[in-house]
Amino acid sequence: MSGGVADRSLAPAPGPLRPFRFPPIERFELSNGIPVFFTPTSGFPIATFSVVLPSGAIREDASRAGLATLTGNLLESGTDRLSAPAIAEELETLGVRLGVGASWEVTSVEFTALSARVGDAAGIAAHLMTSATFPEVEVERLRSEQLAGILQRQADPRGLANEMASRYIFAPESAFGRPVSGTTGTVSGLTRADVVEYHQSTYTPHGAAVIVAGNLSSDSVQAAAESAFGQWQGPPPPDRSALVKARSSTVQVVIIDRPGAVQSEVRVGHLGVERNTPDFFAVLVMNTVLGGSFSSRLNMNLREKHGFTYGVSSTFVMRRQPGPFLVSTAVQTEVTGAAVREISGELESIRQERVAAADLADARNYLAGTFPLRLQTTGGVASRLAELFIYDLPRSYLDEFAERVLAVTDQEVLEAARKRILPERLMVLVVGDAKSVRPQLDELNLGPIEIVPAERGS
Amino acid sequence: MKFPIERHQLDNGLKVVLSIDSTQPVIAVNLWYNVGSRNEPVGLTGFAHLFEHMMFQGSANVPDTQHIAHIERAGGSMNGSTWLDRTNYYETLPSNRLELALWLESDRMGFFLPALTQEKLDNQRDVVKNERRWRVDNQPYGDWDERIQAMVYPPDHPYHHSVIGSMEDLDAANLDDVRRFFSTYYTPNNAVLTVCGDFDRGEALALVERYFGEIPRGPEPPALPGQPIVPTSLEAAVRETVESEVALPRVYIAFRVPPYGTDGFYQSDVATQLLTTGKSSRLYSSLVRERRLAQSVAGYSFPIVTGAAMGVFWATASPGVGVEAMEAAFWDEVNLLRTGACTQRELERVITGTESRQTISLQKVSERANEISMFTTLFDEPDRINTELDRIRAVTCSDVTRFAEESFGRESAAVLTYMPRARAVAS
Repeated sequence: MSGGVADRSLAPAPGPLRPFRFPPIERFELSNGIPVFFTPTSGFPIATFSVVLPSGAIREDASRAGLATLTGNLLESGTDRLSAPAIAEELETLGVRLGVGASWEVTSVEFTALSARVGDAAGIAAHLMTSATFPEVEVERLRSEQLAGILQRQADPRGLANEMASRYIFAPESAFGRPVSGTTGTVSGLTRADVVEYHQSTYTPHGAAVIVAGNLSSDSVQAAAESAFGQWQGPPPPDRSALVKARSSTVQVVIIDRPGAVQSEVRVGHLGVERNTPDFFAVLVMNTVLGGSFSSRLNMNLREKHGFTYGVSSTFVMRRQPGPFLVSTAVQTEVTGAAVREISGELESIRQERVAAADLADARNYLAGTFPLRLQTTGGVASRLAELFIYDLPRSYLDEFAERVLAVTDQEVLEAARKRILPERLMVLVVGDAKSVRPQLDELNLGPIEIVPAERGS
Repeated sequence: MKFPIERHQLDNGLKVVLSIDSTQPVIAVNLWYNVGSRNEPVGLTGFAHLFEHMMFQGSANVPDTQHIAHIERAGGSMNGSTWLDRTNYYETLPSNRLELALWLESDRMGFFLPALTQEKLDNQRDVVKNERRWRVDNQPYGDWDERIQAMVYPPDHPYHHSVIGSMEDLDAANLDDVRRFFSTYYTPNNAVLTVCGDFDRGEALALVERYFGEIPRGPEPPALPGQPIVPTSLEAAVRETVESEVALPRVYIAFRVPPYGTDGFYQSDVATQLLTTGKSSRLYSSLVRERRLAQSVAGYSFPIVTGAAMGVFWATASPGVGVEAMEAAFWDEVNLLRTGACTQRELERVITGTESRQTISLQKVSERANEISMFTTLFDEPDRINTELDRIRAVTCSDVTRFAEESFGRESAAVLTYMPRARAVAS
């Protein structure tokens, strides 16, 4: 095709689509039985190397909340051979930043490096994971840092809203109800002995996996992983399930008061579903229609139609056990009640009527089409491999993702909405100016309103 | 890593840069308009950004909000952003949808005005005001860049005011302003279009010509308002203290530095990284680890080109630490650097770290396309994406010491301190 002026009145049709297949995944085992999952990539001379441990913060006693985070942060604080400054120099000489993720159900230690440096960086990571000594002065320093982080979170309306939303969705005895990095009360009591014990029981090869995505040969991946982790020994980790329970089975309305706030941070939601929920794809598509894209109902309503907000989204946080379902937004103080009314309206309406064919197709196409975009990076590929491992998903999940999404029907979406969105159990939480917000929420007649002064944190 | 670069220019002045990469079936389309907050006259702060929002509200052949809807239903993502020197619009899509992206971008470049309405302006004004509340007014330290820019640049300099603008000026914006702004700055001769990813060269060029070729060249953009020329060093130190809803004191220390693209700018970048990047950096080692005065430290050299750029450092005090003690420790370290201590090993770590981060970032076609648009707009050199690292590598220890001595002195610093509001003690 050449020349001529375009006919602009119609959107251009697609060209022929290059079919997408997830790249090959190789699997081998180290001498001590640790599985290695490797996807070779081409183009850039880099690789992402990740060690995933099947144990996380849900194992903490409630009184030691934040221990997993503290221990993870302390991995670089010193070993029998290297001081903290020496560790920093070694990693930074390789151009590597180590990412230690202490999340609820898994702990991960990861880095991305130029291919030629992966072997050395893996060696350092292994050394830190096996031989960290947790010097008292660093324990104290990082504990203070974690406490200061908690103070800062509580002074930040967004962070505070996220923290409080979990607290009100989950029962007090549920780990998911507390912040992963703990509270002022729990973190100030953490000791070096706690850290040592947590490290010994969590940083163990049992049930662990090494995940690599990058521009390397299979041989060099095997060699690097074996050299770094092949001799690693340790005890089996303790049991990893935990109680997950909702705080309430009726509507809760809470205002965390910040007098004079020009905006309300709003969180609306309740207990959600686990990753292995049988209606996973239907929930995904349903959530996309509701609040999972710019064109979603919530965003078109609150932002484009009403101008209440810069943005609004909904999400089902799917862990091995159910995380929250949450709608999140920040709206001008004066329209808080109106915004909550619109949110409730959208939650009702997706439960009442089937999604129209065109809107359903849009949501499915968005999910299916954007799936490969994250695979441009070694980090993105490694995340997908980790997902298979953490949630015991079949290899075919990655190849069939688009097909499964495109096959979701309007009936399935309706059923997912009716089953997974429960207006009678809604938690409505606002971090904002109670003086202005309270009367607005009163008008909605949702139920009794609890007002909490922002000062009273944890 | 070398990325292929091929450049063209249409008769109407539109610069077009192509960079092929068929590794993945994805494509990035990126458009830089050479207009930003620096072009806003007095009374119209925040306008370039508000205008950017308007560009998503439809054009002659694309209904309101459908720009993004088209891209999302095609399996892609789309956004835009406004900054001091420029406004960019970008989308990433499966590679068989290149024509869709070019249709959307050309329709709003050439045929935006017919779709403009007062209602859309009023709606997006509300959205932008909420964006300001969310980013600035309801965030701890949220107005730091607004305050720092006003301290570092004189009132008549185009960088004196913030990109987000003031509520008053946003309220004052009207439809005539929008029409005028569009006709003045949203022209093919004021824009760079980059396509990066999986495409056929001939097909792409034909499509670009078909969709953008008929858009007429616009007027030459006017000169920048005010006085863009300033010395690349503040003439006198300036200080400000703000009490606000923050948990811990924080200090921002800013300097004027040579504009992005100059040797001096890269020296600023390297010196800043040496001081702040990573746990082996000077300021982390001293302020955070050894002396435990700060929770965290960071630094950044703003890659901006109008008169002078800005190098900014910030440090958050640990609980119980006096902010004066932390600031004094900052100057101790900076002065050590100024008087000569810079080692080759540190320099190498800066270079290695920069190389790693850049390589990781450029894996994404959207990042590459944006960098290419930037280098073309600011320097008319798209190939700079392949040589930028060399400029970092060229910086020596004596460059760093000399630069820090000349530019990172207390006497030419703007220092902004945030203090927590004194509270009544809770029972």
